[in-house]
Amino acid sequence: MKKLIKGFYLFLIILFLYLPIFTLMVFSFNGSKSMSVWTGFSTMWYKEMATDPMIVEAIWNTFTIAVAAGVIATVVGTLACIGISVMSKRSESLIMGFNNIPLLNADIVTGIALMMSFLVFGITLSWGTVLLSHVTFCLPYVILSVMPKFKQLTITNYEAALDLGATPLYAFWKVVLPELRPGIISGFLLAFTMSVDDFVVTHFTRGAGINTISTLIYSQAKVGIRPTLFALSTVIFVMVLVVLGVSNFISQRSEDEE
Amino acid sequence: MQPLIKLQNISKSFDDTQVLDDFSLEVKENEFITLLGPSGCGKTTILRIVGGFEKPDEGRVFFEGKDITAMPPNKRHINTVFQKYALFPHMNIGQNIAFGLKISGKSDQYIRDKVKYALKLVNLSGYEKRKIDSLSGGQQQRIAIARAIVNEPKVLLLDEPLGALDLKLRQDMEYELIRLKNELGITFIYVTHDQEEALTMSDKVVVMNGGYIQQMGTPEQIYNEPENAFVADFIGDSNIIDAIMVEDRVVKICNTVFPCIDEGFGRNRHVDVVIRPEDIIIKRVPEDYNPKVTDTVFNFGDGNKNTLGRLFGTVTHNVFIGVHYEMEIEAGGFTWLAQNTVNYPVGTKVAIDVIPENIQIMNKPQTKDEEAMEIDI
Amino acid sequence: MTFRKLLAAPFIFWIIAGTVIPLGVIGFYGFTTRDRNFTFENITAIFTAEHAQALLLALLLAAISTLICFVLAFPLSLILRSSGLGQKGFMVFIFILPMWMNFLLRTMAWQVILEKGGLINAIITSMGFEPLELINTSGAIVLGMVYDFLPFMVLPIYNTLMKIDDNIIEAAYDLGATHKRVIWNILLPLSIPGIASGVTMVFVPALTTFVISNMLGGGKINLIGNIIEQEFTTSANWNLGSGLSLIMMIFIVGSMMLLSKLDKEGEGNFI
Repeated sequence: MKKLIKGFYLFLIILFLYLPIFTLMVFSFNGSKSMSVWTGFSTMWYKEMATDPMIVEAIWNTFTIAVAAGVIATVVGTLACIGISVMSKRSESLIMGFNNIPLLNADIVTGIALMMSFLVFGITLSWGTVLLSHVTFCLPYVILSVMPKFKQLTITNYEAALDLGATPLYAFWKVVLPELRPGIISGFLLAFTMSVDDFVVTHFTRGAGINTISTLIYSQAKVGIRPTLFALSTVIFVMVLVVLGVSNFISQRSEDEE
Repeated sequence: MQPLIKLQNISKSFDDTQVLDDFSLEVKENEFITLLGPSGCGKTTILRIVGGFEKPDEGRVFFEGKDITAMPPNKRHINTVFQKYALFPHMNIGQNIAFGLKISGKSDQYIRDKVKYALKLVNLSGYEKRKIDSLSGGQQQRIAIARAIVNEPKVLLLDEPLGALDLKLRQDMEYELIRLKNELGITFIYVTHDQEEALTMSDKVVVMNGGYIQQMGTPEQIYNEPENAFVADFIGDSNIIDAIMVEDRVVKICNTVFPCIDEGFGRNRHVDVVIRPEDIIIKRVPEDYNPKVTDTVFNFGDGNKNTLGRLFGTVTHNVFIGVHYEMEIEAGGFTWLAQNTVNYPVGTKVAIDVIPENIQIMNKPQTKDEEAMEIDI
Repeated sequence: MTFRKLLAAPFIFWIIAGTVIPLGVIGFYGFTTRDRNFTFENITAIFTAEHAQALLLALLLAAISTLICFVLAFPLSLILRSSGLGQKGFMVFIFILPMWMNFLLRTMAWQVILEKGGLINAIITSMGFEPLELINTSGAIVLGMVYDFLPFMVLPIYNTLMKIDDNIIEAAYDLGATHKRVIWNILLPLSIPGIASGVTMVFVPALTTFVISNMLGGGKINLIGNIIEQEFTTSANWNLGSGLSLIMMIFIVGSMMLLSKLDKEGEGNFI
């Protein structure tokens, strides 16, 4: 009996979480514009989505910005961790304190602060300002993923490599970096996800005519949603599922190997 | 007298691994009983079944004659001291100890007095307001014990409670536990893989392996008269050697005849012999000494010079380990482990003797299954 | 040594340019008029009826959503822990998967369902009832907040619950505690760090959102986030927007300080 109630509770929450997404997926195959009446199966919205230049451009922008922001944040963040790790405790905690600000601050404040700063310093809002802004809020995630790995770093391994005749650079590349790799990878993935998912900061810092998936949905939601967006969300959902599934599978396998 | 706890034909499996198979055990009131065995031998599972945290697949558990197999742990008059103490980290020490008393609805005054008494019992008076993480491992262990005994359980279950402590502290706590047991008069069921703990504290030791009882008895019995090679090997360092029981009270070890005191193994039977390292008597022999055949031959009945068996060999290893030297001696094609307070340097030619009482004869297990054979209780 | 420290230079530059200076700009605009004169007007503007109402409503809706999220997430995490389903990552995965879906898409889904011509009203009218005013209500906004932020409450609570040693729970049962008592006296207090971090992660975005209130409130219900957003987009009054942002930040910092006291060790940290 108790088990039944528990199971039912889990089922209700799953229903609550997935029914809305599922509804979008169902109506993405609807034969008409209706969002409540089923008029027959069709893939017309997928075709329209693939040929709609606005949507295609938004997808392109979303992913190019996310990849670029992820890479820049990962490189800058990892280098910073090396630098911070040899600093005094006081400067470290000061820097980490500042690092946490964008993390804890509301998106809207980060967004308007960046937008005003760009304009005050005479920088025209564009694709580039979105990228710079994304790097700003992605950096803390990279630092927070990589820094703990630095703390766990077995410094003796590095010293052992030097002792065996390796140059510092070689020792870093061959000994230190492999130990940091999981942190760096998760930092990049986190940065990438945050960038893809962002709406608020992009909303304030984008130049005229620059759209990401999020801003496109927002502007369409105001004037009326077309089922092309349902098709888009179905595609995104399936992609998220595949990516997470594969990465879960990979991490499971590497754990098994260990 | 009816036993306080009776485990009857208990079987338990986890994911197709049989941990206990038809296990039976009786625990008398006021007994300090220790379940001793290597990890995975099923000893903790027994404790958890008695505590009510696991249900046996088969068999029953009786407490004072009543079947408590299906009774949940919060209804049993049994308390547990967990391996890693399991103190509630969000409560102070007083609150931890008072936890069980509060549940049973005792008055505040009673609880206060009891907590005070329990803390005194474990030598931590005045610690009521302290936080858990301000305590050392040994102190946390005492609090865990206080938290359990304050409820006046009939039985206290202890799951390797000293495992996380260092040697010195462990020895102190061993005496503490004996004292507590005597003062409180409750039954202790103690689980450990440490033979020294088991031998020091228990009234009765149950040696387990592979879900079966290997031997049960007083610490002296377990140590001096191991019933099989597993027990002998597990309890202390031993020399376990193949031998042939020539006849009653005569055993041939390394082709040398030794007198012994065991009887009833039949004639010319293959047996295992256990000899404790401290029971090996070492005598230095001159460098050029050539043992004569007569030296190794045992003369029946005449009761003089050659009453002991004797092997000749050379010391090959020697380590000083505190009170005595631990040596390895190559003799008769076997490497003997020997302990002695006298130092015989490596290379010394020696003779080794064993008096008949210190030669323990055991039946040879025929197969692996028989090795794990349940010994009748 | 100094060379290695130099590697942090680009990052420090980025912090200064991307965090410190922009916050300074907000501060500057917040305390000045359009003619660059010092003023408190942008700050005291919060006391005008329109702004105060928006702030109070945002606080109220955020608090309600946070409470609902907690009431849903805590039993859920308990079930995941006790049933052993938690060990199998798959079940947990199901409950946090929506987190990875674009947040605008998730909000849009509810807009579609709740709309006048949406799914729910279609079902209601097909049964012969009058259509309901579902969208553009405070209830719709709370629903959206709960839906969007629930996984952020589940994950930290679940994480702290899973970290609790089984022995501690067994010890409580061993000492006579009932199931209810174990939940109230052991599991709930021990998961406070996770709850604190979950509350932060739901309350702060809910308090500051303008997206959910815009999409599900139809522009009729204004939260403090909407007011600020409008000052930067339609009204273009940066000074007022900055002043109101500073007020909002006081509430963010305040609630965080309160909650971080409950999570001293950072146990409930998300990352």
